[in-house]
Amino acid sequence: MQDEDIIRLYFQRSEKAIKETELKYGKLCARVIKNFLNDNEDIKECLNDTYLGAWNSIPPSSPSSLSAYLCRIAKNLALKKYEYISAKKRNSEAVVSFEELEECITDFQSLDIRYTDSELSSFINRFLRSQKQEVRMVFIRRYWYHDSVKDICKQYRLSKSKVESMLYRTRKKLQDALQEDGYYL
Amino acid sequence: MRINKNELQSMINQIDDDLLEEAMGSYPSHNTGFLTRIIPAAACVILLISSIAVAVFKNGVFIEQESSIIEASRGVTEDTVYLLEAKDNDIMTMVQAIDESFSERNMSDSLMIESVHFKAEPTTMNLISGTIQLKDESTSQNITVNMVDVSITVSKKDAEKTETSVSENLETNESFDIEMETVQENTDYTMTWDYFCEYAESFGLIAKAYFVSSDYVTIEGFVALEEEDYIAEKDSPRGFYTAWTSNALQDYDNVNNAQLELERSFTHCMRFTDPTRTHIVSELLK
Repeated sequence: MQDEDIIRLYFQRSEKAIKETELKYGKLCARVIKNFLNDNEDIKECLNDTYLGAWNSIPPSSPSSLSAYLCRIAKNLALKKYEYISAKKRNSEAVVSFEELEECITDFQSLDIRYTDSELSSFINRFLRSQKQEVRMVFIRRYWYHDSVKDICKQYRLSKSKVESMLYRTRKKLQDALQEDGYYL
Repeated sequence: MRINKNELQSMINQIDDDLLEEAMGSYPSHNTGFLTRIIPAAACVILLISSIAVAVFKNGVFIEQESSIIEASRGVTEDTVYLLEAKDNDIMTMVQAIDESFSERNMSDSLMIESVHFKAEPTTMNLISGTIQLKDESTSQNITVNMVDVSITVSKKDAEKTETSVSENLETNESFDIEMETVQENTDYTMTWDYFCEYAESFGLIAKAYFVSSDYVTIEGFVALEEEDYIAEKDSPRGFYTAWTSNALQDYDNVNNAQLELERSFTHCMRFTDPTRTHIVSELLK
């Protein structure tokens, strides 16, 4: 079923919308959640919450990209759940991948968010769009979806060293770009 | 103002939907698990049958390869076929794909290379065909990986049955005879599959760098020399680099340079050939 048809079902408040969402994007959402949570019950619960989140928010929302919309809900719920159930335990991929990225920053003291969403959004999207497609996709898979390097290698048929060096170079470029734009002084 | 951790996290969360969609392109979104298992399996069977038929009708070159598969089906402990898109893929990609198949079956730890043969386009390093012969040290099984057009076939045989198969082939196929002799010649030297995989990318790069003027490049690696061994026995040639190209004189220096490069960097015994094999350019490595 096309995304527009599924969204129409949400607007009609038809429960079939959930079934169709599960059928089309269940695996995708589960994959996003699995990068944060290990327990199957937690994953299942989070997945159900994702469908509920979509049900509660559409309408009024009418996402232009249903898949990205669902991934965002799934990721936020998984992150909340992760923080709730394991303040001490570390999930390897989500935390490790973000720690990798932290080498791009120098301010480890302040915690407040001082830049607006639009500023940050504009910067990161401009930066990513200036990269080659393959580099961009690998970067997003690692730092947004928190996929493991092994999974990325498998998906794109690249060697581990190539993926790692690609990520390293992109982080360096990001660091340079942050510096150029005054975020890294 | 320096960006902090939370702002960095917030920034990553602001990535546009279209970029997320682009990256998720290869995620399985539909429940097609059943089909994804069945379709490749069915395609493998069809391709195996059709490749045997094509080889028989087209020419005799592949007959010995296919006959070994047929032989394998008679008395082999296991015979497995994997379908991969060999065409339009470079050597490195193919080696990785094969390695993944091996790893999934916990096979790669004890695999030793007996011979390697790739034919690739020099500019793109895309594979035209290839054969890898391996031996599983833990089970004494011989494993042959054949890459023909769009499929890769992996067949496993125990050692005794392979010997029978080889002797039959020697009677009927001269080229196979020569190849086997070369392998026999180098049985003292060994190379693990893992080691081969590590340097697979280099094969393509070296060949690409030095053989751009040829129509085809064939890379054959028979043995590998551990660097320590090579240094310790420098005076005694433990292997050879031989090269054939279609423009022998023109490429003479390049071949020598390639050999030196290989000597310095990889210490593999390899040879580069063109399909006609009309000109021998280099000599034994000293």
